[in-house]
Amino acid sequence: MAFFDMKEQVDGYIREIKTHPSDELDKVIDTDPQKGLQQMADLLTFLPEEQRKGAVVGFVMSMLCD
Amino acid sequence: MIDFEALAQAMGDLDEDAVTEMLEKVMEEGGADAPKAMEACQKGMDLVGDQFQEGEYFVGDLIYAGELMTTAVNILKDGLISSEGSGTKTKMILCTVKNDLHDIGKNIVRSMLEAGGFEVVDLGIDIPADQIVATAKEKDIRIIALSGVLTLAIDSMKDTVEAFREAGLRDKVKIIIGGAPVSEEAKELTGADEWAHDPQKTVRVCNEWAQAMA
Amino acid sequence: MEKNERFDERLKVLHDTIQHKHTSRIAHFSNFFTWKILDSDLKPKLSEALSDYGMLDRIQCEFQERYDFDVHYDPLGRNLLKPAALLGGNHHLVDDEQESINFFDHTLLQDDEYPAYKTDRWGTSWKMFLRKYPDLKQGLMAEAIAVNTENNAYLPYIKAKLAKEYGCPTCYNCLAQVPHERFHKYYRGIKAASLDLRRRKSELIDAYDAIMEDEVMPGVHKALATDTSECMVDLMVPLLAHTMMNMKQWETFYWPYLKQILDAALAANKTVMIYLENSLIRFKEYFQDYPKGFLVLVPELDDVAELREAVPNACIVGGITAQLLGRGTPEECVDRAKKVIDQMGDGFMLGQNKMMSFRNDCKRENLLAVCEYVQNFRW
Repeated sequence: MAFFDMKEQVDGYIREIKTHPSDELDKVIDTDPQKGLQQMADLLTFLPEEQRKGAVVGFVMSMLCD
Repeated sequence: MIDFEALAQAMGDLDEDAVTEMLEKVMEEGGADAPKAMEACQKGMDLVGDQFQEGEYFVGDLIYAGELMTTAVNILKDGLISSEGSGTKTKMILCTVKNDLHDIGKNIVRSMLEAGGFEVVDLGIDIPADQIVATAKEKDIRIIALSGVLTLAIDSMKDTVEAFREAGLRDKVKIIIGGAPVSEEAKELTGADEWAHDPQKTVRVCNEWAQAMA
Repeated sequence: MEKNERFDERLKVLHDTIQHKHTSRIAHFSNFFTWKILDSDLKPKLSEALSDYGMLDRIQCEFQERYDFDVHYDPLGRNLLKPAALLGGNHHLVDDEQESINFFDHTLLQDDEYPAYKTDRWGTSWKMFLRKYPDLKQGLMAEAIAVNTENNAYLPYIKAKLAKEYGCPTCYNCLAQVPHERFHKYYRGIKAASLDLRRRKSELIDAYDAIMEDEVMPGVHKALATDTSECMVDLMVPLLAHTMMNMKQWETFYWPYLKQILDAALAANKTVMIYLENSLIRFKEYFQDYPKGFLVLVPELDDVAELREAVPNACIVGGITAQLLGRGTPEECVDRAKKVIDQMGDGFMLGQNKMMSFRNDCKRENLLAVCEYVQNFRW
């Protein structure tokens, strides 16, 4: 029986994230909700463009309920 | 001078604005009536307890009442410190047992116990058995109230009762357990003397013990 | 029995039980959470397992193979430890030595922010997020989102696996809750939310009305339009915050919104599970007029027989306590199962009264004994 394993996929996502300039990655998240949302979405290039903002919103809402 | 009956009623009604206004008036008038005002607030807490027993108030109201009592004490404190003849209160220990970090229920019970005339040594949350025993020994405290919400708090309550036994103090103290997982079976399992789901029962039982010990 | 036959058989028993039809056997409902990790022969640390979805998969399969439940409320799909760790932690404290998970009551939404939340939900949520994770760097958040794709993928994966490999229908796919719940548990915390019920009545009602109109009810209608025919229930509604409320507060801040959700589900001819913390009996009148076959109640503190009397139209899940499973003997547990099955009759599923999380919540030998009894029981 196979078991859940997304390690390779997630490692790939993280490698993709790290191709962005380090000054972008090291920047503290913008407190403006629209700017911050866009800036974060711009970093999620491992996702199709139409999914990026939704991923940020979904993540924020999940983490608030944790 | 304020109407102390009205103050007690306002406290019982959880009328924050009315209580605050009256207490501020007491302090504006010099604070000599602070002890009487405190007594009225405590009477009001009894009314809160009655309402809880009757099902009119529930847990959220007890949280609110606790906050209101804290506000009352903060307003009156200078008048209470300077007053004479405050009398001797029975000391007791209250805490949330080891491995449990919940304190809302414990804090509600603390407010009710203080309003009921106890000097509560609140040890806080996640308290190991040996600390409870050491505090009881050091301060010569004979009434212990243990709180917990998680089912694993039962094990910590059992350990605490056992620690008192090992210290040779079991016969000298009375222990009550409280919180969601407690029951008659839990009382038997832990070896506690009593159990309670509601703070009024805790106050009543501790009062009975205090009177028997006096 | 072939796997798909097993699935069909389990689903029929679950659905028939909800409809109060007489079934040939009793459905067995798992309310087990992290106890599964502690029971596992893999013997992982709690934090280790919760951070490894492959391990959770193995543990869930092991659990099902050992105990053969008909349905799982929690297939171990509900944790955010890994992304939270990247962000700097969360409000769950996992203690591997004590095998415990504690949750801190906390406040993210400030006293005067209800109006802002009402009109600008995203903006206020963003503020709360940055309060929870101050000075968070973009790169770390992006990595946490990447890691979180595992969490998003795992729950549908494990539900599908349980259905395909073990014939276990999904308990629910759709969830709805009244607005107060999010403030009670996550945004204001239990203490502040309880004080708000008295100090900020009109702000709360204003905000809750808006949340219902533009968020909850559209979500409910969307959920009710999805195909949930292969789930145990069509909609799950958790009740936690009612535990703090007096009757007047319930009638103002909770019931009007819960009623909207329930009535929408009823109009759509769907079933609703109400998963309870604490007790429901003092609110029994509010549930008594719903037809049989609509409501499933999973109580915590209420005795199932008393709840049956109070809400006879509801299917009840429960009957075996953590106290008994953890501290009793196999014989006592089986005796209790026998008694409660006999007492409750149709419209009842055997289950546990708590979110079974800690080692002493259950002994393996007790659960095995109950499972064997239930699996062999026939009317």
